[in-house]
Amino acid sequence: MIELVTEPFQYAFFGRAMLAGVLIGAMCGALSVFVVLRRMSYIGHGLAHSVLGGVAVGVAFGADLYIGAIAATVVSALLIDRVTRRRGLHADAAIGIVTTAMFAIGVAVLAIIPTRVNTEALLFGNILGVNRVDLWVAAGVGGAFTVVLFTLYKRLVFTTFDAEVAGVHGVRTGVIELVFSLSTAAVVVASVRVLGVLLIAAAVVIPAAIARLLTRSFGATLAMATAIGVATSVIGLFASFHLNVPSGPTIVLSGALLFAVVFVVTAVLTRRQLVRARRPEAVVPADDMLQSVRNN
Amino acid sequence: MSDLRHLTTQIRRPGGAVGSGEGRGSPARGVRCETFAAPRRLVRCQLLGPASQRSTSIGGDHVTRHPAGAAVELRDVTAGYGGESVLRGLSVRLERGEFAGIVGPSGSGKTTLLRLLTGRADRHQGHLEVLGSPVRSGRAPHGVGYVPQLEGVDWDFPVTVEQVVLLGDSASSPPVPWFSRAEKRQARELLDRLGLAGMHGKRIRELSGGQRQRMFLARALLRKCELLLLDEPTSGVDLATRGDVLRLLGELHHLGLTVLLTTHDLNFVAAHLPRIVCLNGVVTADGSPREVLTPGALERTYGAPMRVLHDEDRVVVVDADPIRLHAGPDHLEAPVADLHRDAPVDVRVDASLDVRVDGVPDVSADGDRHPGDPTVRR
Repeated sequence: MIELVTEPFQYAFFGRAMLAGVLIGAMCGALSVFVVLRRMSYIGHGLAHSVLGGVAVGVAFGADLYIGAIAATVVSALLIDRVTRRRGLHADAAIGIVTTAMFAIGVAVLAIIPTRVNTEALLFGNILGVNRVDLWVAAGVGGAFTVVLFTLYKRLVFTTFDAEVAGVHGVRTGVIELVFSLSTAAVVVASVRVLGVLLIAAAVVIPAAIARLLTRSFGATLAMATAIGVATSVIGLFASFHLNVPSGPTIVLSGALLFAVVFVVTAVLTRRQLVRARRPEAVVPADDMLQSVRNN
Repeated sequence: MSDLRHLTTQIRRPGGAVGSGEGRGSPARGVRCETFAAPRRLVRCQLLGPASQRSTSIGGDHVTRHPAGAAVELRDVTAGYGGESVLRGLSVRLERGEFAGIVGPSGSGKTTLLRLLTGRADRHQGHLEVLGSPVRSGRAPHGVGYVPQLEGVDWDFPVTVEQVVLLGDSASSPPVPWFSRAEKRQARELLDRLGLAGMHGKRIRELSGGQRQRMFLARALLRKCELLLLDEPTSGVDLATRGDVLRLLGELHHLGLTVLLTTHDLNFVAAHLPRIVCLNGVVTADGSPREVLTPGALERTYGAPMRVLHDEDRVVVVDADPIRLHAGPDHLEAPVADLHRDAPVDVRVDASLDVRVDGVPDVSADGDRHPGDPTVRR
């Protein structure tokens, strides 16, 4: 049994993948709270799709994978931010237009220009492909994201809760929104290698969805979502190694499974509480009442 | 509002004399509106409470009676969103210390006006000043507190009452993820004085409508606030809660705040506020309730005839033609059975009212809408 845990670490790539996975899981978990509360669950999906366009164009011109990915997500995040500010267009429409167009560019470029890009690894994640650069990218993005969360926490929460009033109260909501968009883009780029383009969306939704079922305060939700992000990454990476399945699906499936369990358990507990609350006062059996009368 | 008894208002004139007075915001031209007549020569006001020994303090921030001048001044302002103008040629001046209400039909620009005053709408032309400073788009002016409509709030958001209040000061709070003990103490003192003692740890969903309004008031007051803007504070609350909110606003007004609110409740503003601004894209009337609430001004504002009743000191606005949906057979031109066959059908329900009934003709006799009732449109 212990071998299931120790065996993968005999391979250097798994150690790197695990380290990157833990960092990415924590980032995605923390980010998911803001994504879910802003009702922007689609943004991770969209930005990840736009990565494909950036990677394809970048690699076609001989650039590093991350250069194209960063350029594509930053451009997408800025465009989404810009389009959303236009009255009458909401974030979902902006994300749908911008990121799908970027994805389409990627598909078209990959079809036209032959490259050495492993499309399957890009789409579904691959722990074999995690190298030192990926690790440094994850660590760098993780550090920057932690600084952003630490210093802008109150403003981020206020803007997420009520952006209009936050603006009236002196919060530079435009700056906060921009920082949030760029942070999301950075986390998505850092996660592409492990999670894959198509499965990042779930990683930035599921941890917060589970945490919201179990917690009451914002701080607790954030802490629990971060922990869940790490836990599902670790479980998913082990499953990926042993089952020889791409890491993206195993991480997402472990999160989805955990969500299903928590959902059912909390539903059952809530139902029991309701039943208990509705239960009438205990009825004294007739025999006991008769005995009581006789005794008196 | 018994829990506001400790919200003692004390008014100090220069030299320390304590008293009360008629307000600068009291209605002009001899109209009596006693409810919120502001003190005329107030210099300082304070919320007195056992936990605070700071003078001139609301929750630690100073509320100093303002020098003479306008709290809000709009001169020929046209504004809206993007290229679309919602407000046209608006000229309104609200003196410091006034308590005024903005009324008008839906889409008349009430909320847009509040958004304009907080830098959240685009000014296309004209001059706009709030608390003596020009307002630029995207930049909220200093000293303004804003209480939003309750309807737009995510009540499932995982925050406590205390956290919501503390967020009000997040722009000037140190850039760390936690609030200091002093900040928390300040927020709790404010909550205590607004009648929410012991509620700081509750989730916001657990509060009643009136408590939610007070929580947002506390958030607005936590930072230095001279002008309080409220977007429909009486919507979605019952009559008793409305009275609570109103009394609380009155207390705050007496403490030196300039208060401007929007509402659909004409009789609420008529009964209690010294000044009403009628809005329908443009200012259609501006003045005391008796001056503003006239059939002519109301028809200009709402585009529909209304009757104004005078009862001693009160002005009451009612529908010119009460809508009566008596669906008794005597009132129907078409037999009820016909409605089943040919829906939608035009039905003359009353001599003064044309009603179209779509679908099944189960118009309730009491005129109320019930689940399953047909759609009834004038």
